[in-house]
Amino acid sequence: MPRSRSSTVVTLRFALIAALAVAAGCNDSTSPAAPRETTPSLARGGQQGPDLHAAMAARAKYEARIMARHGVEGIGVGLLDDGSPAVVIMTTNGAVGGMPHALDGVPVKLMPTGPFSAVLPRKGKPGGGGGGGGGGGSADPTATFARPVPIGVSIGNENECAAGTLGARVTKGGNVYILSNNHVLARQNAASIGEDILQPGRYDTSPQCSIPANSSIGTLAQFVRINFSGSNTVDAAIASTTTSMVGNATFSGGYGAPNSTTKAAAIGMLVQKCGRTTACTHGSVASINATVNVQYDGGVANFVDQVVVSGKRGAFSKAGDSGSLIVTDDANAYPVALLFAGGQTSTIGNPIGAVLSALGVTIDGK
Amino acid sequence: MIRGIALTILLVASTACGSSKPSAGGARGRDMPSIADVLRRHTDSLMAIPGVVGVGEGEKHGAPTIYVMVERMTDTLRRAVPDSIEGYAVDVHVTGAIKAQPE
Repeated sequence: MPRSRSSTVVTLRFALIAALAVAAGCNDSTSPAAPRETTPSLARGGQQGPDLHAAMAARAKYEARIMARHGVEGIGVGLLDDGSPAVVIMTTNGAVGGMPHALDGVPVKLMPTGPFSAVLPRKGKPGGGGGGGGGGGSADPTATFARPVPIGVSIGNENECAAGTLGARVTKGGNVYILSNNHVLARQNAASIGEDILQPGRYDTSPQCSIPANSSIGTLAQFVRINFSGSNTVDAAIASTTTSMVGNATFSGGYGAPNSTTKAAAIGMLVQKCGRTTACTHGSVASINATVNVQYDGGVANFVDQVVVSGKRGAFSKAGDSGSLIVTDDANAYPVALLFAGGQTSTIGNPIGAVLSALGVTIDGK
Repeated sequence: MIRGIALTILLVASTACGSSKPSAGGARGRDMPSIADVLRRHTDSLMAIPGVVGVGEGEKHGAPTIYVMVERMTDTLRRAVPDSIEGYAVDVHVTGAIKAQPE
């Protein structure tokens, strides 16, 4: 008995040492990530070597105990949504009771890996359309709103029967403006400065395409040209307005006023938006620094450094949501991106920092 | 039984390792270029594949991936888009055509 016990100990010790060796190998291959993370174009949350070592050590120390638990498939080291290192516990399906939140100070992340398709929330779209996660009995964003109108509602240029979304109120030098896309306010480069911006857009008027009296809430002030033969970073424009014409918060059911401080997108970040077509929806950042070819009426335009968002339930956006401000899905509502394009399952936004600096404006938020 | 546990520890250590970084296909980890460098080098050639509408940085199981958006999945695309590039897994998503979203 004692003999077998000691050989047991030896075996286990060997296994642990070997595991540590493998872990060290693992560590060698991942630690070069640390200097990478400091690349300015890849602001994905700071990650330091020492923290990764702590995560590796915690993994090695506790893996036998964790692995013995029912419903645990594996244990490893990974990154949290904010890029900080964590011990990742892979589970058969969803939560496993009694799991620690941290091991020796290193956060624990539970990851269901059982059925592979469960990792991706992008299966067949629900048939009904209309977009996911709407805000219950909230206002209809296509309606005519009393002035000052909320953000997230239908707007359009007077010279086309179309509709997009009023993204946010922004300021520059004491003046206030409406922020939206070039293709919502400036007719894809075709507009002249001073053209009227209407609420709602003419697509949403009755009779459709008419221009009711007093529907102007501003005039086109500035736009960034969309380059159809080179690369772009933003599809953005502003229209002069006043605080008596445009408010700075969403309609009821939305997140309210956005923060005046912005935040760079990070993979996994939870976000929300309120827009003309799908109202208020929730999603998460699936990709950053993305290069995307976008179809316009006037041709295909190439965009770089874009943010890709996946909807939480159904589409995050649909036609008419162009111009919506994408903000963090928390009480802070930090602006992250300006929505301008999408496919069946993905939404594309311009990084908000690039939008604001291209137009020289700041968010008029809380 | 105990040997089984020991084996499990070893296996988990190695599989966990495998899942916490992209399968390098022989490339040594310390030589792996940054995802930003890899994207810079390969975005143009990936975007040139008919049906590819977007290429960005993604993440799967805590490891950076190359996030590729395609209009629809076809056999040609399956053949043309590699499974991994310079040690980073390529994660393909069917997004449909990406269009500006006015109504």
